[in-house]
This record gives sequence, C-alpha cells and structure tokens, in this order.
Amino acid sequence: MVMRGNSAWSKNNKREIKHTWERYIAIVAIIILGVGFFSGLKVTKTAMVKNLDSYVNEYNMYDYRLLSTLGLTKADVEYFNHQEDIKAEGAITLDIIVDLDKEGEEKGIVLKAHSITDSINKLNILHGRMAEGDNEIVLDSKVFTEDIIGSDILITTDNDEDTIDAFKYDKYTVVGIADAPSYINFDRGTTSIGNGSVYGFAYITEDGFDLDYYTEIMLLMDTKGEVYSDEYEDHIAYKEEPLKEALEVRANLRYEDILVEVNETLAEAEKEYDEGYREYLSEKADAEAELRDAWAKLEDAKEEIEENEEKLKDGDIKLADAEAEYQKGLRDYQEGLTEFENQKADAMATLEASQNELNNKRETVLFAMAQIEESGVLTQYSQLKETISQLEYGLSQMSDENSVEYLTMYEQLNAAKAAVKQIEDRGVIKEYGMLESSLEQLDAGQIELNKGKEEAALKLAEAEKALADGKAKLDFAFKEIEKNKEEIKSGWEALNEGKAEYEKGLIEYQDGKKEAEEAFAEAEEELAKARMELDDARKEVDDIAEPEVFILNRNHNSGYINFDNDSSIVDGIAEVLPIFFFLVAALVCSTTMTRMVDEQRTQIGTLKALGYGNGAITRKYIFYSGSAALIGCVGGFLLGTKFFPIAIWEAYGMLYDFSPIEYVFDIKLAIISLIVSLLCSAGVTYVSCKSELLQMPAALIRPKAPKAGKRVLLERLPFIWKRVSFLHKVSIRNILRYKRRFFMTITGIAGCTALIVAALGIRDSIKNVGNDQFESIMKYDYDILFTEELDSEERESFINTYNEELSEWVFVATDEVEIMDGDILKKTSVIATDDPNITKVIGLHWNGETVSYPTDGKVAISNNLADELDLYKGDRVTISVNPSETVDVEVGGVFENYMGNYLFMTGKTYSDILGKAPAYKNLYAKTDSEDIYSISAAMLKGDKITNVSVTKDVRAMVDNMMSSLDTVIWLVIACAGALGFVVIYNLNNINITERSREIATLKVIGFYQNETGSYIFRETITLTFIGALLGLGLGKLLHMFIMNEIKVEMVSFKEQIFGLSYLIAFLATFLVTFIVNWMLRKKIDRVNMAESLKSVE
Amino acid sequence: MSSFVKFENVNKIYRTGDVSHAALRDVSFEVEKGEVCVILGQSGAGKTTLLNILGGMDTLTTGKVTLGDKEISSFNKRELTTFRREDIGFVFQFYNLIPNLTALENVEIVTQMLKEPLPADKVLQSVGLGERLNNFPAQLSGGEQQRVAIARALAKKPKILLCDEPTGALDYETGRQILMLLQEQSRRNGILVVIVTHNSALIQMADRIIRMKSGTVTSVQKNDNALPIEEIEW
Repeated sequence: MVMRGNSAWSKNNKREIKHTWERYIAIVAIIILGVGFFSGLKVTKTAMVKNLDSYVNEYNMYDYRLLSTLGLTKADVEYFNHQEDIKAEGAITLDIIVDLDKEGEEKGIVLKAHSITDSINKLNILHGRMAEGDNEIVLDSKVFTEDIIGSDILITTDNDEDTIDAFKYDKYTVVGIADAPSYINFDRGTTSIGNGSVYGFAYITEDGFDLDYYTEIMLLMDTKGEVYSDEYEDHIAYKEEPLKEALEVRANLRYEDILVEVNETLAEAEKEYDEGYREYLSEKADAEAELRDAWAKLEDAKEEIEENEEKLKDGDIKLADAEAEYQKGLRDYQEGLTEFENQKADAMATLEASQNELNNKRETVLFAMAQIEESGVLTQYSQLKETISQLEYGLSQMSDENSVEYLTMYEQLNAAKAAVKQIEDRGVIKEYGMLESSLEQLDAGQIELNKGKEEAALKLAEAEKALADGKAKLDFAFKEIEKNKEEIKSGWEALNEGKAEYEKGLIEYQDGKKEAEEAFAEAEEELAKARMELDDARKEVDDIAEPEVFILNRNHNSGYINFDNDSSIVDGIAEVLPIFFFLVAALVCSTTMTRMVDEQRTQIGTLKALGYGNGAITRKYIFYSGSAALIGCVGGFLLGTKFFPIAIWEAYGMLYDFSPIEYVFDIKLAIISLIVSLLCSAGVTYVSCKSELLQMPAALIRPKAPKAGKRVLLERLPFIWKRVSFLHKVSIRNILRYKRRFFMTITGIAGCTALIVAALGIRDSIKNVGNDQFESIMKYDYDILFTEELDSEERESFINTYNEELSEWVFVATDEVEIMDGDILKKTSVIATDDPNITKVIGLHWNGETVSYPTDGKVAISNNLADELDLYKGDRVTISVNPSETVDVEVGGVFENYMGNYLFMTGKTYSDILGKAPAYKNLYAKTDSEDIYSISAAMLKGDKITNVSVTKDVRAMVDNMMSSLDTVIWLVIACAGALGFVVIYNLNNINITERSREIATLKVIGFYQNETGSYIFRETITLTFIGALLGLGLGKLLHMFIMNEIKVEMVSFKEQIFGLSYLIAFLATFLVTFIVNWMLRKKIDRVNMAESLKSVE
Repeated sequence: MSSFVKFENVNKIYRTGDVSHAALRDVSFEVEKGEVCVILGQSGAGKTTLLNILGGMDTLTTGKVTLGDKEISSFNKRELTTFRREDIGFVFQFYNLIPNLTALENVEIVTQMLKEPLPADKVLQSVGLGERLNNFPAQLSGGEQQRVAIARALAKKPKILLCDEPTGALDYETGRQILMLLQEQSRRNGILVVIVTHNSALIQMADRIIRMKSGTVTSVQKNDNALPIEEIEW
C-alpha cells in the first residue's frame, strides 16, 4: 500500500500525534535527555582532547624530552636536529629558590626555571610580553596575576652555589605571565630544594643562564594523529628505541669529553698542589732559620746579662770594701786631726810665753831709748852726721882744693866734726848704743822666736797639710764610692731592663715559634685537605658514572596525563549514566506505545477490517515513536553536544583553561545516538506491541477483557494488609498490575534520585575535602616557616611575643620522601615532631575515631597512600631514602587526609629513617583571634621568618577549585530532575487516560477533588517513594562508581554522602512528583463524569 | 406526600464553539420520596442529562432543582460533590466497579468516606453476595457485578438511588433480579429509586413514569398500581 503525505492515513497519523501530544512529547523529552546526556558527555572527552590537541599543536608541545645525567651540548642538539622529521632544541631547566620582591608576595619559593625555546614549547603570553633581555623573566600564569609584572624576582642565597652560578643575574624583572604547554594543569611537580614543592614555572632567555650545557633537549617530531590517539602513541613509541640509542651514544661522547676535560683539570690541580707544597716547604725553611737566628740572639743576650750580673755583683763587693776602707780612713783622719789640734795648741802656748817675755824686755829697752830720743841728741847727731857726709861728698866732688868754696866747706866740716865730738864725749851716744845693742839682742831673740814660730807654724802647716791631704783623699774616695754606687745601681737597672727585654724577646720568640708552628700546621692541614680534595676529585673522576639517559615523552608529563584522566572521567560517567536514560526511554516508549495500542485496538481492528495490512498499522506506531525519537535524538544531540562540553569545560576551567572549547560534531556518536534512540523507541514499540498488532481484527474489535484484579503478595500477610486502607490497597494493586509501567517508573525515579544522590554526594565528598581537611585535619591557622631551626631561647622568645595571639603551637620538621610501591615511587610529605600537642593542630582520625600519634619506630600514613599501597596498621611501608637505599617502617596507624600524602613520625623515627636530625623549621600555630591576617603580617616582619602561610588562603583556593565541579553537579541534577519529570508525567498521563473511567466513577460516587487526585497520585507517590528509596541505594552505588572514576592523584575524596543529601535527593524527587501531580490535577479535573456512563471501549 | 425532588423549568444547553445544543428544554416535574421513578426515552431524549443534573454530576443552564430542602441547582462544585457523596447512590449500566478491588472493597470505597455508612459486608449480604466478598470484579458475573454496584450505592444510605440502564448490559433473568433488588430498596427502605431506561417494560414497576423526548418531558405519570417485578415480563 502506498501512503502519501496527504493521504487520509497520514492525516490520521499526524492527528494522532496532535491529540496525544503529551505522550509524544514524553517520548521526545526522554530521548532528548538520553541522547543529550549520552552524546553530551561522550563528546566532551572528544572535544576536550581536540582542544588540547590544537593547543598542543599551536604551541608545539614537545614530543620527547631527552635528558642525560651529564647534560647535553649544542653539538648534541645539532645531531638530533639533523635527524629526519625531527626538530630539536636544547633547553635548560633548573629549580631555584627565589624571593618575590613585592610587598605581600611570597618569599623563599621554588620556581622551575626554564630557558625560552624558539619553536618547541612556545609560551602563550597572557599578559605583558616575552622576555627579551637576559635579565627578564616570564612567570606562571596559574599562580601569578598580571600585577606581578614589573616587579623583581630575587635569587636567594639559600640556593647552592652551583645553582646561583648557573644564573647570570641574581635579579630578574618580570615582564609577562604566560601559559606553557608543558604545564597543562596545576601540577608543578616537586623539587629537592626549598620546601620541596615547586611554586610555579618561570622562563628566562637562554643567555639569562650561565651554563655551558643544556639540561635537556626537546624534540618535536612530524607526528600523526591526535593527542592520546593510538596513532600518535604508536608513532611516538616507534621512534623511542632509535632515539634512546642515539641519546646514549651522544651522552657517552660527552662523558668521554668530560673525562678528558676533568683529567686535564685534575692534572693542573695536581701541579698547583705540588707547587703549593714546594712553596710551603721553602717558606717553612725560611721561617725556621729566622727562628733559629732569633734564638741565638736571645742566647747571646742571656749570656751577656749573666756576665754583667757577675760584674755588678763584683762591683757590689768592691764597693763594700772601699766603703769599709773609707770609713776606716775617715776614722784615722779624725784621730790625726784631734792630735794635731792638741800639738798645735801646745806649740802655740810655748811660743806665746816666749813672745810675752821678749815683748816685756823690748818694752824696757824701748822706754830707755825713747827717753834718749826724746832729748833730741840723736836727731842732732844724725843731722850733723848727715851734714858731714854731705860736705865730704861735696868736697870729694871739688877738684881745686884751693878754691874758696872748697875751703869754706872744709871749715864747715871741721866745725860739724867738732860739734859731733862734743856730743860723743858726753856718753849718751854710748849709752844709746848700748841700748841699741840690747834691742838688737832682743830683735835677735825675736827673730829666734819668730824662727821658732815659723818652724812650729811650718811643722803645723805640714801636719795640717798632711791631714788635709788625707781628708782630700778620703773625700775623693767617698766621691769615688758614691760614683761607683751610682754606676752599679744603673748597672743593675740596665741589667734588669736587659733581663726584661730578654724575657720579652723570649716570649716573642716563643709566640713567633708557636705562630710559625701553627701556620705550618695550618698549611699542612690545608695541604692535606687539598691533597684529600685532589684524591677525592681523582676518585670522583674515577667515579664519574657513565651517563644515564632518560627519554621522556608526553606521557611523562603530569598535566598531559591528568588531562587524559580528567577527560576520561567524563567519558567514564558517560558510560553509566546514559544507560539510565536510555533504559527509561525504552520503558517510557514501551509503556506509552502499549497503552496507545491498547486504547486504539478497536481502531486497529477496524483498520484491519478495512484492509490495512499489519505492516502499515505497525509502521504507524513505529512512525509515531520513531519520529518522536528522531526529533528527540536531533534535539538531544544538538543540545547535549553543544552545552555539555561548555559546562564541563567551564567546570574544568580552574584546572585547564588554555582556550575556550569548540563545538565538535562527532558523526559516529550521532549515528550511535540515533540507533540507540530508535532502538529504544521504534524497536521497543515493535517488540512490545507486536502481539497486539498481529491479532485478528475480530479479536481487536472486541473489547479487551479487563485485566483481572490480582492479589498481591502483600495480601498474604494479613497483619500488614489489614492495616492498609482500601485506597492504598487499590494503589498497591494498581502499581503491581502493570509490571512494565512499574519498572519504568521505578527505574526512572530511582535513576532520578540516584543521580541527585550521586551528584550531591560528589559535592559532599568534594566539598568535604575543604571542610575536613581544614577543620578537622589541618586545624592550624598558620604554617610558619623559619629560615633555620630555632634554639630553645629563640623559640621561647617567639612564643612569648605571640603568646596573646596564638592559642596552640607546635614546632615540626617537614621533609619529603618517596615511598616505594613496587617500581613506582610515591612522593610523600613527612612531618616529624616530638611535641604531644601535635594532635591539637593536626587531627588524626579514622572513621570517626582518633588515631594516636605514632610512637618511636612507627609512622602514621594518610589514607589515600594506604589505599593505593594497600597498607594497613601493622604493615611495613618501604621508604626510599636515596636511590640505592630503602628503609622499612611499621605503619602505626592510618588517618584520614584528603590532600597530599603524609607520613607522621616522631623526631627519633625521623633521624633513624633519614639518618639526619630533624630540623624543626616549621611551626604550626592556631589562633583564637578573628584577625588572622594582621597576626600573620606581624609575624612576617619578625626575624628568621621566611614565610607564614595562612590555612584560610589555601582553603579558599581549594574551595574555589572544588566549586567549579558544582556546575557539572547542577547539570546532572537538572538532568535527573528532567528524567524524573518525564517519567512521572508519562506514568501519570497514562494512568489518567487509562483510568478516566475509574476517575469518573469515583467522582460520581462523591470523591472530592483531592480524593480523586490522590487516588491516582497515591500510586505515583508510592512509586516515587519506592523508586526514591531504591534510588538512594542506587545513588550510593553510582556515587561509589563515579568517585572511583574521578580519583585524582593528590586529592583523595572522602567517599561520603551526607544524610542531608539523601534527604534533598529524596525530597527533590518528591518535589518533581508533586509538580507533575499538580500539573496533572487539572487533567483529572477535566475528566468528565459522563465518562462513567459510557460503554466500555 | 409532598414532592421530594422537584425540577422547575430546567434548561441545559451544551455549547461547543458556535454550535449550541439544548439537551433539556424547560423540564419540570416532581417526584416523591420512596417512589420508584422510571424515566423513559430514546437515545438522545435527554434522560441521561436529566440524570446527570439530578445526580449532581452536571450543572444546569437555567431553572431550579431541589431535593427536599436542598437547592441542588445552586450548589457549587464542592457542594455538588458532597451532595453526591452523601445523598446519591449511582448504579451504572456498566457497573463501573474498580477492577483492582474485591467486591467488599468496592463497597468499602464508599463506606470508608462516610460517617455512618452501612457495614459493607452486611450490604453485600443483603444483595446476596455474602459468599463472594473477596472476589474481584473480573471474577464475578455481570449480575453479580451490578449487585456489588448496588451494594456500593446502598451502603451510603442514599436519599436517591440513580440507575442508568441498570439492566442494559445484563441478560433478561439477571436484569429482573437487579430490578427486584432496586424495587425492594424503594419498598423496604423508602429510598427514591430513579431508573433511566429506554426499556418501556419497566414502567410497570414504576410508581411514577416520566417520558422524555428531544430534551423535553412529554409526560409525568403517577402509577398507583406498580407491579412487583415477578409479575412483569418483557
């Protein structure tokens, strides 16, 4: 039979749709939901992967990274560049501790510094510009905002020297922030320096480094296929072996070069050492000679001093002798003097007496004479004598004796001579002469006496002189003695001075000697050290390991791998959830179409009787459901593939936000969706209505025997059944009357509830991460990092300073170790402390019970670590201390922790395991104050504080990240609601049309509006109740499944659903039911009571 | 005896779009308590409409309907429901039992919503179904189903028992038994029984016969010699 579009047949079909639009829409809607959900989720992965692919291609993410433990050279780069289909670029990667030179920014953070490469791993500059100058730097956009541009990055002195040397500058200016293709997500990896975690990446120019080799070579290959595709993976895998071989060869070349180079260097150093040694020897000899001279001089001086001392001592003795002699002389002299005085006195007395006698005699003579003289005779006599002498003389002088003159004169003379003879004759002259002779005698006596006097005086003078001489001699001797005394005294002084000088000299000498010896020792030590260093170096050179090479592809990049995982999560969810929708869609179609065929059996019979074939009639119903499914499929596919990826990408935006997601049309997915929806609609229609449609027309025209009421199992339990009111009984029986409808509704509603439970559960599990992590686990408000371990005094002073503000504090040592899980190493944070208060700042719980802090020799591990390694209390965990050494420790407890992996232990355990004393550089502190930030700011200003991280900040970050998942959750909840809505609407719709007669009857009987309503809706409500209850359980399973799918490496979600979420899911499902009921109440009201009077169809 | 049910100039006009159709035109009659009243007419004569209005299932366009001292025509929807609930017992041509309820439960469905109903099992016994209380409608014959329906109506202690072609779907003998049951209600319990039928044979059992044609009452006849069903044949 040919059917034309405008034939009565097709008109009938179209009208059919128009009249039963609610059913039609129900099928369309459920298919939209199913297809939308399925295609949306499915395409999301494709779209995400495609997005990543274009991102990776645009910025030329490397295909391989080649690393060698010895570094790589320009020649190596050249070598790889000359390989077919390969572009190679050398790059430097170094971890560096820096301070951000900006108010309020982090200090002492670790950046992973890369050299900027030209064509591989290009940066996507988001703000600012690319680093051009060697002292410019581009920073990680994930952790820095554009505000950082213009400030400086300071390389701290905490870095080891080699690292500092590897950077040309100690200060780089931020010029831009960027995304880098090798950092697709948030993971920045870990590092051996600083606090162990990499804060972010940084890019500087190659010349900004001061390194003569590359740390790695990045390869970009002419690859085929999308990221993660087998084609790409195969292509990459195919190249791996040859690349590795080539890399080994290159690395060995470098190894040999290095060996030659270091051997040369070593030889030079050896030479230098020898020179140094020789120099040392000669200098030592010189110094020793000098010392010897000095010693000799000292010895001489000593001898001289001793000699002088002898002399001085002699002098002392002599001086004493001389003094004694002098004293004796002095005594003799005084005796002599006394004797002389006595003799002198005697002689003087005798002489005096003689003088006196003489004087007496003289006086008598002189008296006599004086009497004569007084008579003047003498004068006359002498004058006459004199005139005679004068006349004689005048006569002698005259030659003519006859002259007058002569004769006169002669007369005078004779006159004078006559006078004299007169006088003389008197006798006075004689007496006088006698007197004169006595006087002369007296004078002679006087002379004699004078002579005696003179003699005595002479003798006395002689004696006196002798005495004086003696005295002078004595005085001289005294002076001499005094002088000697002085001399000896100064001699002694000089000697003492000399002695002191000598002592000084001796000390100086000894000091000098000691100094010299020390210098020698030092020099020797230095030399020995140098020698040892040389030996070490030699040994090191001997030990220079053959280079180890690593060839890493994108699958070793955490962001790349995580992206695959994360997008697969969506894909994983897409595997399960749409099953619900399709199952429900199939059930909806089945029940709807069955009902429709039932309703129209008379019509079908009539049509058949009129001569329409089975095919045409079957096609009618298949067309009905199929067209609805087609519309639903197209609509669902378009809506789903358009909005799901956008919503989910939005949600993942916190993690991956390199570019907005693009619409992806996946033809395969479209075909699958179409097939599935057609199967669920047309297929189901055919199967479920086949028997009905193929009946004979006569059978169809007869009313279908009413389905007999049936007792349900429950009725066999009278104690329950009796308590059920009859209206509930009818509901229960109704519910169980149509199994398919029952399952449709239960599945749909259970699915709805389950989805909501799962969605809210995800939210609980995730939201909970923030809450539990920061409220019951990391209870501290501050993690204060000190520059070095504080001594007890510093600790006390710190605590005293903040005693008011802080309520709890515990000093801990933090570290990172790796835990062995087979061949895999799990990075784990270590926290060690002996302070029992640790449990006040970090909560250790397991399933609501407190886990006690591990005792010595045991560790407590976080649950995600325990889960992954399948460890339980009492097991042993293997810690890799260094690449060649592992230590087994007993697990003393497992505790809940959601972010990161942790090992807790005591200080002793720490030193036992790691072979070093724990450095208590971190302080976990709690405050009761509301003003968290002002305290942290105050602390940051303190000495020795590197960083204060405020838990609240970390929490805000985590909360932000988690809240992005809310979008997906709301999406799921919305879909769940829609699912519930469609199912319940459909059920009610069918029930109402099917039972319009019952409804009419009840109305006639006198049921009030709400009673009639509840007659129908009680069923829905009961089904909702059962479905929701089932859904709660199913939701838990679904939640488990999803949580398992979305497991993330560093964050372990607590698989939990709050009671409230169950309640919300339950109530939400009921809300949907009530909304539907409210909408359909009108439809019930419209049921005409006259229906009850109609004949049974 | 004063009139119990009173129709005064009742008109019922159905409008569908621009077309209006008068189902009842100026209908007036009175019925007394305890009577068996048969409303007779062909299909489309308006008897079902009349029944609907009397049973509070439909409203009238103009006119006045009273039952005792209640003015049904002035009732709102809820009052009508209450009226149906408390005062009216319906017996349908196709029984209209709830298929998922047993005979007893089909009666209980009304007894449980009233304050002082007759006990469901007693009523069923009284209609001769004491043995089949726990059978589902599908397990009962047509007559038995109709008895359940009557029991359901009687359990309310209604003022009026409205029966729409109560025997229409039944065979002759069963029909007679049902009619006997209905007449008994009038005679023994003093319930006004209104039977709508196109079967003129039933007028013999009626105390009052209302004939209808094209929406109007053509005659209202009081029959003082109503025969017991046993004596009627058709």
